[in-house]
Amino acid sequence: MEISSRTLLLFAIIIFIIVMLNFIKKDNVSIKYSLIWLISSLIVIVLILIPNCLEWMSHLLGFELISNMIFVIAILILFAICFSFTVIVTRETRKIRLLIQEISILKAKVESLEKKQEK
Amino acid sequence: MEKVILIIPAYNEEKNILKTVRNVEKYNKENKTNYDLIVINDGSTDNTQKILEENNIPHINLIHNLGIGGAVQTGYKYAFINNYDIAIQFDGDGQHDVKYVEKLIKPIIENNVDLVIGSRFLEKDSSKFKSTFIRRIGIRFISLLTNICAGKRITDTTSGFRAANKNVIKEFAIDYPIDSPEPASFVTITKNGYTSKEVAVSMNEREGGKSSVTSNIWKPIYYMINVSLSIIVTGFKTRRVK
Repeated sequence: MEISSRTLLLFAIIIFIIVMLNFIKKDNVSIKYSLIWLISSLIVIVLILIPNCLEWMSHLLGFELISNMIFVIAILILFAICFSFTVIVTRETRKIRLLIQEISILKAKVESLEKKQEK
Repeated sequence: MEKVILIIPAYNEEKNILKTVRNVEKYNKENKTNYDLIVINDGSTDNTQKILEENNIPHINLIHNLGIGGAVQTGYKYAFINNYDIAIQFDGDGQHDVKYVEKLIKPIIENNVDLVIGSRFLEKDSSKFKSTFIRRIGIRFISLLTNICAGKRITDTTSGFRAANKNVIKEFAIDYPIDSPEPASFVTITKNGYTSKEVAVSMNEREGGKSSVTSNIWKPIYYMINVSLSIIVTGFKTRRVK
């Protein structure tokens, strides 16, 4: 890979990490969910910094072009992250449903008790 | 004497809910029965809540719409917390007739059956329930799938008119299949070794409001896929240890 494209990628990832850290600082991204992004960014940085690493890898995996390998791996990682979000959303939905049910039952109970007291 | 409660889920049922509740009260008075009821107002946007409050009808207002499954489960939770012996799912739109409740709870009291389902198709001529051809095919398909996955045959898997004993109330309070409540819950119950029985009932045409399934063209398609999947998945779930 050319030096210029390496620099560009490195630069983009560093900006991404800075933005990410900023979000974490403002509590808009929890550390738990930011880890997967930070770790994948660090892996990419290492791959860029080691010379000929990507060439060697794509040759080993049988890709004709380095870019093809990068796209395939990137899509697989994004797929995994997206899927984990589906799992998270499902879990959160279940928790919210439980909360709505329990609060609504409690509210009805409180209201009926208040009515009894007024009488 | 068993403590019996009717769980009545209601979403935008301002036209029917009062009539449904009055019918139950009238029946209680005439037959000296003592059926309690709880209306689960599923975040209605019309006057349902106002009607419930003004008429002193026991009810729970869900603070956000949950859909029929979540609303019914709230009813089972309420029944569980308040130690009811039998809980009956009862539609708020006038489709179900309170006179069949006695028939539904009889197998639970006399024969210790866990779940009793009111079937429209058990006796052919008793049913006034009419539906379109497409709808009948849909119901047939769901029934077939349910029977295969549950390993037990019943005629009316989509019936929402059913009575549950204490064990099943507890089961439903903890875990209720939200996506296709009726068929999938039958599969769960059967797989977990509970007994069930069907009794013949007839249902009325809905008097107002719309079916939750047929309000637009995509909904029935989505419903069929969703229900089929959830029945199959429930069928594959391993048996829970009681």
